Amino acid sequence: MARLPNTSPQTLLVLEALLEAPTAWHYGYALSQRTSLRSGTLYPLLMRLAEQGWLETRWTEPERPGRPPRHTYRLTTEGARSAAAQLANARAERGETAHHSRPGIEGAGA
Amino acid sequence: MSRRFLPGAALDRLAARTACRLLAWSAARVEGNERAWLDALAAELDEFESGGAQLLWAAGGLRLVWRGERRQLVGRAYRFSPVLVIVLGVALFVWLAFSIAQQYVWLALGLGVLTGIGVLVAVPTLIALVRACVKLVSRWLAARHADQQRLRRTWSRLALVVGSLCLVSLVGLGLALNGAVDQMLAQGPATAGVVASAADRGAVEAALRQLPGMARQDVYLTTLVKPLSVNGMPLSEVAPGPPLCPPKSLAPNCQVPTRTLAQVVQGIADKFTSIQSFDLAHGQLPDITNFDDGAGSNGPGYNQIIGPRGRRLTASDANTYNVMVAANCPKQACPGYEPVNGDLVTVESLVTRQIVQLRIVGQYYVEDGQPIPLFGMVLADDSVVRALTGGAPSYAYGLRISATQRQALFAQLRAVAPAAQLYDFTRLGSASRSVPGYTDFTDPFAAELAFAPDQAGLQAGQIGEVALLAALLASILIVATWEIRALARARRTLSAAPGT
Repeated sequence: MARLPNTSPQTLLVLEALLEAPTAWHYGYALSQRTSLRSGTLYPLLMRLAEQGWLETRWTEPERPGRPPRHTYRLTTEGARSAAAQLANARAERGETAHHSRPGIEGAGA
Repeated sequence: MSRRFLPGAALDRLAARTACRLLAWSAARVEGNERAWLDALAAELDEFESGGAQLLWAAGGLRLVWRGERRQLVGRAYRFSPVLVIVLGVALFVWLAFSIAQQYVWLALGLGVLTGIGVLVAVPTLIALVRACVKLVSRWLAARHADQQRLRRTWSRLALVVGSLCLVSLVGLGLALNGAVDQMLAQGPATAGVVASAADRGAVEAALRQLPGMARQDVYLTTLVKPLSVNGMPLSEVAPGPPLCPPKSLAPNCQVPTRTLAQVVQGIADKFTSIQSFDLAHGQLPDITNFDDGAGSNGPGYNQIIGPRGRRLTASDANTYNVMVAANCPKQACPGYEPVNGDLVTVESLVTRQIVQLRIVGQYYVEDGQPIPLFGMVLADDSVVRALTGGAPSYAYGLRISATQRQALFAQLRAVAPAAQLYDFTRLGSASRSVPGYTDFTDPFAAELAFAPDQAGLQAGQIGEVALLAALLASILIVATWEIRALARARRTLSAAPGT
């Protein structure tokens, strides 16, 4: 049976991290630290969420001279609503125990 | 002051440099959306303090490269064309192998061994050629500053080059192989035969004279007879009775052949139904190998048959009714009956009703299923056939010609001498079936009728082969056109791209 989109554990981790501060812009590095996902997993997920319209992206000016511009991400309004629904469904299926057993997400980056 | 070398720090720097190079390598292999996301990934690299962590982070870029490659693989029709070229190449190879095996069964084993050796040589050569071609293409692209992904897809180029090389090699190999086979056949036994009546003799020989490059041509006389008796006994008495099984209580699993007595008699009659004669007085002798009289083969001629018993015909048998017959029965049609040297066989001509008595002086052995270029089962002097036919025998021509020559000759003979019987000795099935005396030929008309389906089958087979070859060539042309157009489009894109 085909899996529903954006319901993989890794995707839910990213959505959860983004929903911690839904209006803030997040860096890839920070998301990786918060979700413990490697770049090879994280960036394809972000790409797919952006292609689906759940995520908006922008380039930001470097904070320190000599550094390249950084890419940042945040949920769109529609994306935030869908992400919240997905997380609620996932929690309902697995129960809050499973939620607490996952690594904690303390705030959002940037 | 000397700097202290710290292995950990050196490794860290090495990892950091490797991370940068890995990202640069990945960036060169993606474009569009993936390229932007790879840049995003690369922009985070400075956040990591250690080189090892940077390397791990940069390795994630490989997923983006793969994602881009996978995206390109989906939904591009022209991407299938290199695969199609390879499939066509394999199909062409199978067709060539099948065609050769079908036409030259007795050469199949030799060709298989030669092919195996050829593959051992060809594979390393092909790999070297492919590598050289890919390198040349890569250098050409680099020289043109080609950074378009379509042109950089190594697998696409590799498949195209390999497929094209395979096609060219196979076509070349097929042509060379056909030539080699024809050459081998032209130096071996007769590859084709023609039997014509006296009325058609002139037309047949005129056609043969117009055939260039014929390696060898032998002419024999031949006729068909009805065997009446052996040593004065009717064939039905010569033949053993049908085999019987002991009572079932003794041998419950005994099975006897289902041939009837009439079938056995017919099998014996087949031994004597057709006569092929030789000009013994002038040295035209049956070419027999391994004859146990110690004489061996007849020198430079080709070996037709093996002689296990009695003696072979010599010039001293000219103008006598001494004959050689087959020691065994083709397809085991006459079990239990074995000719004995000295037997007298009485036969009646189907042409003139003339009756003569033949004396068996030697026997030869025909290996069942082998394409033996014989036009008659009874081997005799020309005087026998002339006596039976009243001076109007049929003429049999054993020819060593190539497949191309055979096709041309047969086509011409069908036009100028449609009653002539045409034999392709390189085709095992048709040779075994069509050589007179091997089957139930009882009169000249039956022989002609029996051969008619072969002609139709041959024509249908040729048409099928030509159609298949034409379809393959058309497919190759279509695929080649696709590829050229795809490359041309890519070149136009490249030329139009800014900065190139």
